[in-house]
Amino acid sequence: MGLGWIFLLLIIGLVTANIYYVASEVPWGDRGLDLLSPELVRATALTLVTSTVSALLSTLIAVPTSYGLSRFSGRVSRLLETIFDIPILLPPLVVGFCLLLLFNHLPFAGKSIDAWLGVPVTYSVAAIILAQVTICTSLAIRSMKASFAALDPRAEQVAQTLGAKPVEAFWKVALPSVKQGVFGAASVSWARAVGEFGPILVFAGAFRGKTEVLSTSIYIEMGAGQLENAALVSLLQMTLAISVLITVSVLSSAGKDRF
Amino acid sequence: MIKVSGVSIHSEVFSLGNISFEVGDFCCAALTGKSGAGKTTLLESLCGLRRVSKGSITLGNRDVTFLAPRERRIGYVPQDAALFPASTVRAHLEFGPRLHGWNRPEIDLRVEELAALLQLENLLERLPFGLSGGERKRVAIARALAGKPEVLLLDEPLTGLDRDAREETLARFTQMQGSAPVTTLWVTHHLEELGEIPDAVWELEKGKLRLRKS
Repeated sequence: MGLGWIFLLLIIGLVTANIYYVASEVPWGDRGLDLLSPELVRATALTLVTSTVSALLSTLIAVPTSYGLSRFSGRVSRLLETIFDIPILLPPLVVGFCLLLLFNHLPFAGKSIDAWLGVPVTYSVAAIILAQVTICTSLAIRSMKASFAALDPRAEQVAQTLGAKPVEAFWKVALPSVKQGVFGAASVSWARAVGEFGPILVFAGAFRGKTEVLSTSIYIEMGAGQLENAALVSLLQMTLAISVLITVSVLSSAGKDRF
Repeated sequence: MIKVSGVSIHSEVFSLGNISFEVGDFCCAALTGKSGAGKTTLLESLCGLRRVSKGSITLGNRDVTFLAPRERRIGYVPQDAALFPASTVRAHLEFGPRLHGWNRPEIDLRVEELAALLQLENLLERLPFGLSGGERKRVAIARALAGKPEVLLLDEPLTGLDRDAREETLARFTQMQGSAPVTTLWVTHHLEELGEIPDAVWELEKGKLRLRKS
């Protein structure tokens, strides 16, 4: 437990350091308006839009996938679980690099995927979403699988004896029973997507005004020696992440009270 | 009617071979035996939740051996009630009738009827969380009966209930069988609890079925 306290202090220290730096080093007044620069506003908007789309896509993929994994056991199921875990176990930069290779160097009907699609995905907004979805879906599957595994399949069997097809038993009985889990998985995916950096940097690039999101903004600002701006963006991201964690926690306890 | 003819079931841990028995229309038969004798396995086969490797199952004059659970027109009450965590008691009672395409007035009438019969009127808007063991079992029985099944299959519905709840559940069942009888197979390993309710008693022992009372 002693080490736990040290870790708690470390987390509090991280947040405090960022707040202190912004409070003491960022010249408020005119320069404070840098926060509202068109680039930063665009990066914030792009972060929010891509993270929301990615979280929705990840949840849409994760719900049926994790349901299937939780209802079938055996070697194939275990193998699939391991494969689905790969994106979160790999270093994020490796995921981005592999996406880059997949879309540009793997021939598909004689062409690369980018060339075959006709619209280049690499270094575009679509690449941001794809990079986020790759990581977030793995995370969402893990999270949802625990929710479905905790749900007794007997209730769905009873639903079938009452006249429900298996898919109706899933929609009418299983899914409403894990809605807190679905919300939790979506929220965690969203928070992760907001903070995703490595695969986005490699696969989508960090082009100001084009593929710049908040996490890559910090990288760009630090590279330009603008530590004040980097600290402000960092604080903004921290606020977003903590808000999501608090919302999930509040809604989860409300759900526990209800069920 | 329930008619099981030469049914064999193979599960991971044991096998049931050449099981045959019959329960007449609107009768209630008890299936008893020690824990692990295969009572639940046999019941699950009648529900269509477990495949039979041989033989045939007839429920209400239809051969249902190869039909999916939803096509068997049964009401099933599992041992743990298995209520739907996110559905109110009313939604449980409406579940079967809705799937069978009943209209709103018919559904409302059926819910009222069952709620009165099983004393669930004050629980209709409650979620399963917080219901007592006896209330949960009564909801499970009402849910199973709501779609007017041809056969009712009960898997130890009194297990885990205190004496009062057991007596209450039995009284409601007896009342129900008096007013609108349903062909019932009642699985139990405490036969004495059922008193005079069963018209026939079958005992499952070491993979074989024998008639104890008819």
